[in-house]
Amino acid sequence: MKRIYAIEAWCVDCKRCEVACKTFHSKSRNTVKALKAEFPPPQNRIRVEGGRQLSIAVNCRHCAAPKCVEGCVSGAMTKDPVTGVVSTNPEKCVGCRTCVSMCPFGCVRIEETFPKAVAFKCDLCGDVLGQPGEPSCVTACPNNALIYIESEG
Amino acid sequence: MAGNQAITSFDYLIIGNSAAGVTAAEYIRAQDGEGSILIVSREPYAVYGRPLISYLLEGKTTEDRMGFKPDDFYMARNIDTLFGPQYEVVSLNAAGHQAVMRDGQAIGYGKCLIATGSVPFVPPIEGLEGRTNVFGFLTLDDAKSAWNAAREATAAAHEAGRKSRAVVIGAGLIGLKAAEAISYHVDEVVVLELAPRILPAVLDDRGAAILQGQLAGHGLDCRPGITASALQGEGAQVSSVALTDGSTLECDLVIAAVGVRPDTALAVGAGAEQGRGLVVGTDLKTTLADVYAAGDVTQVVNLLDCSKQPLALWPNAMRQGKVAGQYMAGSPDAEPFEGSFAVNAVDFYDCSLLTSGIINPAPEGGYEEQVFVQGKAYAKFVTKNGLLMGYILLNRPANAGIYTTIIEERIPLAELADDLFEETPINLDFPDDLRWKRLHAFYPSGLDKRGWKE
Repeated sequence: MKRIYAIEAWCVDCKRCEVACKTFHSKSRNTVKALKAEFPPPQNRIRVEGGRQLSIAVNCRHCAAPKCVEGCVSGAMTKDPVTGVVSTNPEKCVGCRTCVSMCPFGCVRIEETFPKAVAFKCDLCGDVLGQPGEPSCVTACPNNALIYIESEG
Repeated sequence: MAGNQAITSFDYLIIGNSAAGVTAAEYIRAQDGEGSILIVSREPYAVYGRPLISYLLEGKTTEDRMGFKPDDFYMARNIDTLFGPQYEVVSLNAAGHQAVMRDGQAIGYGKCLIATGSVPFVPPIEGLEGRTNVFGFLTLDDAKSAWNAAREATAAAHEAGRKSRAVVIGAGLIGLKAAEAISYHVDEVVVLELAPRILPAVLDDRGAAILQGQLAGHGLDCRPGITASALQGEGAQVSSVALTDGSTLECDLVIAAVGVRPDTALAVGAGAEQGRGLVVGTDLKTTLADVYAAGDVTQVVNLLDCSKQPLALWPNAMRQGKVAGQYMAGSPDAEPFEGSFAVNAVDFYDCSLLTSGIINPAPEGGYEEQVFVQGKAYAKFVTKNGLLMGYILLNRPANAGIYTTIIEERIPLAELADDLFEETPINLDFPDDLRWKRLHAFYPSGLDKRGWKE
C-alpha cells in the first residue's frame, strides 16, 4: 500500500500539515472556519513533535498487524483487507481508549466531539472509510518532509 | 440457523461466540477455504462488543451498533452458527470427538476450540440466590435486565415520592462500569468493595483514593472495605442489604459483580488439565486431543514476571483467537503464543484510566516506582533493572501506547529521553536510529533517510 513517511531531515516545524489535515477534516474545508469557528472543532490527525532544532510529523503508520484494531472492543477500528487502510467508525466507537493504550506511536486520540468523545486518527484523507485519498498533509508540506509513496508492505 | 436434523459433524467446532471464537473462525477460514465450521453459543446474539454493555446503558452506543463484525460476517465465510440457550454445549467427549448440546443433539468434530470465556464468581452472601432483582453484569442480557429493572424501580420510587437506589457489590472494572451505567437510571448508587480500595486489581492505594474522590463528585458512593453480609427482603425481592459494618442499606436492585473466573467446567469435565484457567501449550492446544482453547478461559503466562493467571481482557482474546485458529487450520503463519500482559483502558464519566503490567509490585522484588501528580492527573511508573514494567495513567491518557510498547519491546530506559515519565511520551523520546526504524516500516529500500534515491 501507499504510505506516508516523514523525512525528519527536512521538517522545519511549520505545522502546515496540521493545518491542512484539520481543514480537510472540517465540514467547511475552509481553513479560517475550520480553525476558528466550527463546532464541533475539527481534529487534525497528524502532529508535529519537537521544535525548531528537531521536529518530525507523526501520523498513523497503518500497521500490517495494527494493535489498535486488535484491542478495539467495539469493532469501530478496522483495517481494510484490500486497501490496508486502518480507520475508525465514529458511529461504533465509544471512546474507551483501548486503542490509545495500544498504539505504539501515539497516533490515536480520543477527542470530545458531538455527541460523544470518539477516536480520531489518520484516514489517508479518504472520503469513504478504508479508502485512501490524496493526503492533504503531504500536499501541504512545502519541502518534502512528508512523502506519500508505495511501501514495501 | 434451522435444520437441526441435518447437523452431524463439522471439521471445526467452536464453542463460544465472542472475541476469541469469532477471531479463530476468521483465521481458520482464511487458511482453510473448504473445511466446515460451526460456532455455538448459549447467547442468542451475533458477536457483540462485550465491554460495550455499560456504554449501551450510558447511551454511547445502541444495540444495533454493538455488532462486532459486519452483519454478513458468518455467511460471507460460510460459517454455520447455533446461537441460543438450547445450544449450550453441556458435555464434551474428546476421545470420541463429539460434543452434546443442552437440547440433546450431538455434534461430531475434527478439531474443537473452547472459547467459553468467563463466568461470574458468585460470592457466598446470604440471600443472594433466587432473587428477581439481583443481576450480574457480564452479558448483553444481564445489562438489559438490569436496565429494565432500574427504570421500573425508579418510576415506582418516584410514584411513591422517594428516590431509587441500586447497590453494586464489587468495585472492580465490571462493578464500577456497571455502577456508572446504572447511575444514569437510578437516583443513588452505592458501590461496596471487600478490598480496602476500589479497583483493587488495576489501581494502587493512592490512585484509587483519587479516583474515588472524583467518582464521588459524580454522585457515585464507593465504600471500599465494606461489603454485603446478607441480602434481605420478602420472597424473591431484595429490599435491603445488610453490610459488614453493621449498617443496612435499603435498595431497589442489586448488581453482583465481585469478579469472574474462567469458564472451564466443560473442558475440565472432559478431562482437560486446569491451573488458573485451562492449561494450554504455545499452540493453544489443551491437554485433550484436538481440543484447543483461547481467550478468558485459558491460563496465560504473564510475560513480565512469568506468573500464570487468567487474563480476562478483550485484546488477549483477540490475539489468542488468531493464534488458535491458525494452528487449528495448519497455517504456516502461526506463531507460538508465549504469553501476554495486562493492558486495561476504562473511563468513568469524565475520568480516564489506563493501566498496564505490574502496578503493585512486591516490596522485595527489586522494583522502583515513580509518581507524578498534577491537577486531576495521577501517573505511576514501575521499573525494574532499567526496564518499564507497568504504569497507571489516571486522567493522563495521551500517547499511552508508547509506554505499552516500551514495556512489550523491553526497550532499555537508558536509551530513552530522561523526561519520558514526566509528561506525554513522544516518538522523539526514542534514539535516532530506533525512531527511524519504528516510524518507517516498509519504507522503500531504494530511498535514503532524506527521501532521495540512493
